[in-house]
Amino acid sequence: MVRAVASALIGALTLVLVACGGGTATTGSPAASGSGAAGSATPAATSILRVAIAADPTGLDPESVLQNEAGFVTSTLYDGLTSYAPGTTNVQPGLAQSWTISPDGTKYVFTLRQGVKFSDGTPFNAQAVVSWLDRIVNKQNPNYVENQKGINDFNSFTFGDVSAYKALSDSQVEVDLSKPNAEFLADLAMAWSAVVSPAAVTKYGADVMTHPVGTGPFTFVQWVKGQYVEVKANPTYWGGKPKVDEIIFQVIPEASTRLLSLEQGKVDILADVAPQDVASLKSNAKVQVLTQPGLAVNGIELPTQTKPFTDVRVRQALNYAVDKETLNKDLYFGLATTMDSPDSPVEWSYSQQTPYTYDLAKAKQLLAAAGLPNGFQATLDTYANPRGYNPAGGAKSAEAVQADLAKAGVQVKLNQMDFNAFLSAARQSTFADMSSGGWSGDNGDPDDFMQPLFGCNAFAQGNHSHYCNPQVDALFAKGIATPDQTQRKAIYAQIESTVWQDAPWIFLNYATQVRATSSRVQGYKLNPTEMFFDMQDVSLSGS
Amino acid sequence: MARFLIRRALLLIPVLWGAASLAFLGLHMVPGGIAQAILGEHATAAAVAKIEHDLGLDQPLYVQYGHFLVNSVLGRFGISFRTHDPVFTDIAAAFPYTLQLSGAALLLALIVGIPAGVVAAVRRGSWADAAISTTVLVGVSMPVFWTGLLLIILGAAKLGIFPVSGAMTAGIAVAPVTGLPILDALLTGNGPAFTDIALHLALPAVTLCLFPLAFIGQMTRSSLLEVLSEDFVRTARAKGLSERATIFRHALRAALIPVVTVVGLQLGGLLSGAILTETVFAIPGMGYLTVNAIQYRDYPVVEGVVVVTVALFVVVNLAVDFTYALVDPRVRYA
Repeated sequence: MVRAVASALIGALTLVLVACGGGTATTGSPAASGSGAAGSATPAATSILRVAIAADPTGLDPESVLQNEAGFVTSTLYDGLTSYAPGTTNVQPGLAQSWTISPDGTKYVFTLRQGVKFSDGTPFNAQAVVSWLDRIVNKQNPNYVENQKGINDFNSFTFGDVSAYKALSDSQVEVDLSKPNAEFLADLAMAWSAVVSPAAVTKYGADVMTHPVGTGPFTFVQWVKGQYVEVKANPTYWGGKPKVDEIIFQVIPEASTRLLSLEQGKVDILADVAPQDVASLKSNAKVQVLTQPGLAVNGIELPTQTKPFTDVRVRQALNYAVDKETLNKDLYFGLATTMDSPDSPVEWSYSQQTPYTYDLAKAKQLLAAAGLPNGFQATLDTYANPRGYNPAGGAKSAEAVQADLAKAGVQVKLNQMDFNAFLSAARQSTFADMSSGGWSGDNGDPDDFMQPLFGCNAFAQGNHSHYCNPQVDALFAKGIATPDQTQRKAIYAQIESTVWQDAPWIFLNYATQVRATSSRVQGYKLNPTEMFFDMQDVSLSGS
Repeated sequence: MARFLIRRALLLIPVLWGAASLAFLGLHMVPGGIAQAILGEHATAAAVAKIEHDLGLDQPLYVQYGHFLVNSVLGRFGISFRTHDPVFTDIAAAFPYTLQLSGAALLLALIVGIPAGVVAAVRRGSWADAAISTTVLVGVSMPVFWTGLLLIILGAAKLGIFPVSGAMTAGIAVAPVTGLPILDALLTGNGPAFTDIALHLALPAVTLCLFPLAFIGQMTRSSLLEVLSEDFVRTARAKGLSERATIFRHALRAALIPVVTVVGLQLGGLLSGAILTETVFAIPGMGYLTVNAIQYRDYPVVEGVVVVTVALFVVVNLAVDFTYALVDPRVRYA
């Protein structure tokens, strides 16, 4: 018996040694062996763009994705009726070439692009748009999106107001809304609102999540779960033939491993770059670092309905007491800019306000005027992990704020929680602490960006300061009901100015969006929504 | 023997029940709630309520616990909240990668650990002993995520021999036979795939093997030293057996009994070490599955992984007990 076990063991050992031997025999060419094997299926000159992503996508059906990584992939596979102009969140035509909006803002007529086909050959036309909408809106549709339990609710965000839709001709679709929604066109441009082939939905049902079929610049090849998603160029893409043959989205959960992969040339684009890594990346000649002000705000929410925060002088005093510039430099490695509006500078609605420049004397003076010459005590609830809008993590920035406020006599006790527990606590109507706050925009529209933070009905969402100014609320209502962008700009300028004066937050900073690519990547543009739009324009030099 | 087997198998039940219940309670007691975790901060209160209802999280805890127990017994761990795949499918897809990694690490640990222990014991006090003991100490002390990164820097970045991460190069496909990618590549005679997988496996396996290697080496050394001073070894030497035969045929066999125990215990360590190793090296195994599931409060997956891992651990321990009988004729089961 022992002998049998021993020989089995020896057999296994031999196997391993052979394996190691096999490995050493081909040393120096792991990448080559990989592309060689892939080359048996594709021509040798295939140019492959590799993108490192931090997590496996949750699904590739744009209507039911749960995280950014899924959107990264779907934004290369699908198009929406509208799209964002490259590098911005300004809405421009997509699959719809043009549109008209009724004066009351409830009736949209889209004229569709002609001659476009889904990657399964299904023609894109008014019928396709109607079936796509029906699947999202009509509960009786056999493939109704939300029959699939537990999926995200972006559908009600974008399509909640859709009351009717019909094909007017082969190339015209009318969509009616139950009430005016000025951000509807921006919603349609989001990666989550892309049009899926109706034939694929019929064929795969809910499994369209793993069999994505769109009209985008790339078409789906395969998804090896937990490892990578492979997409290949769509040679007949209406927006022009992509300049690379393939994109591989490689799942690499560990940040240091992602970084090494880029430095080693194993991947071409890093979708997530930690601020502390930027300096070393910038010094690497083989790497380029791309930045753009983020569609994000980060600050400390002040409980405006709790004393002494009810006094606007106190809230303004706290704003003057924090040295934002030093914070940006030391904690965010220079990859954040001081807030000078509740809106983000990448939004069309942004209007600059007078910054609360660090001024300790003024802070003390305001506190004294509010009857608090010796300051006061408060609790600041926070969380540890980094967020898109706060790459340093809630606790680190809260500690910095705590130190600055102490100089003004305000003693802050930090209460650190798990992010989810933090969120649940802050969303209670009884919540009355200071808290780490922040927001990343979804669609580039000012309503989406500011209403969840400063609207009276958003306490259970993003308004943890319980800020409620009836004048601002009326402006929010007016802004969402006004289709004309010029008029809206004036409305949001008023909102921004009032919120800024009311100071329901300690306004800290806008985190910079950072991505890194190998120097051979050309034509790649960041988008404020962080999705991988316009990838047909990206090329690899030397391939 | 049969009675022993049945008794041990029955003991499995309370152990599994206890572990699964702890996992269930632990996850449900964490504040915040699953719906909130799935949807994130942009979700409206209505959206959170809808998801809670969809997933049955609005039912009383004992009802959810009841469902969980019944489903666990039937092997139905439910549907992942996140990927919408049956949990069993996710586990079945991830498990081979962990098995492959842990197996390779354990083999490496045995191949290197036992001879190192023997050398250290036989040459006790020599420079070889000192070198091995120091290496062992370092092996035990290094956290795997750190070792992993060091190896990536050395093996992938500096030497350029090994890939940085992943289980295999994109585009490589292996026809499934056993489900273990490396074995399947070998069995189907797919040379390029085998080489590719072996290269991808090398650094994580070395990373993960260090800790058990250190333990096995240390245990072999001390156990062998003890055995070498026993009477039967002196007898073997006295009757003129060569030193080699004395050590390998007589002493080592007796000395390996505690080593077998250590190996069994290390299997648990390998599974937990695999969590970090898989994360560092981007290997889509059980560890990666668990980390993702915990991050997103994907209860069904976490519970499924806990039940499967505990079952594995218990079965492995049982197997270790039986192995005693193979290496030590004195052990008998009643």
